[in-house]
Amino acid sequence: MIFDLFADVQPTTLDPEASEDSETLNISGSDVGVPIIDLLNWITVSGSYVAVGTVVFPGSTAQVCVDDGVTGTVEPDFSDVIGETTPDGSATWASLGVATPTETRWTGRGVSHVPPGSIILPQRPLYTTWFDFTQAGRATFPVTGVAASIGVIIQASNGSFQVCTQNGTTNTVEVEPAFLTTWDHLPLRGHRSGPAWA
Amino acid sequence: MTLPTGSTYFIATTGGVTGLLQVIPSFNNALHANTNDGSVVWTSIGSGDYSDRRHSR
Repeated sequence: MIFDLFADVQPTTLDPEASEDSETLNISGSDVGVPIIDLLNWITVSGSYVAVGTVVFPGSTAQVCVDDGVTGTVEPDFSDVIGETTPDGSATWASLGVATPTETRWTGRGVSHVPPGSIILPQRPLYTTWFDFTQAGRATFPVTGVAASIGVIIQASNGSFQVCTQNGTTNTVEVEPAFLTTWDHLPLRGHRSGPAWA
Repeated sequence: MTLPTGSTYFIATTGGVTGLLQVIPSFNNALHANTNDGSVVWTSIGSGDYSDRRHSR
């Protein structure tokens, strides 16, 4: 992490008033919305030159470059022991320890507090097609609806993914609803207890 | 709605509270791209295939 700080020399004021003892800092040419350090994964630097201080997050660890050079094309077996070095091509990495990715938040972690610096590897959740999801309803006579609960994900025949946002039972399983392909809520379909999809 | 690819890591560059469970953000896999998730901002740090490669020597 490197800070370049430039400032003009200010005259010293004795017994300053509140209005005098203040500074306005102007930062230009900086986007404070991006990380201060260049956050990289090992794959993004493989086979290329890395400078001392470069930080990567291979696997479940964090590594900092302590000897610059050109990395190899095969990912080394990085250590999670803090300080232990790993050669990589002509470069050398030192372990910063474990940076364990957390589970995807769709395993029951909605509306949860996340501190800055948390690393995740979002997994593709399980889903089924609308046809398969409603197959059980068509297998009965008379045809019945199928219960859907919040969080169930289906793929419509138009290729879009739909997530259930309200518990309920589908009204008909013979005709697929006209699912939206953009992020929006599909109004309740069928009877009032029907599920809602988004 | 798009689903995550399962092969890109993200770091929370702005802490906060994630969105509703059923509101799946469309994660932008481009390196250093931001994705909003409730009040949390996730920034892509690149691709990788997580496997439990932790080991102690």
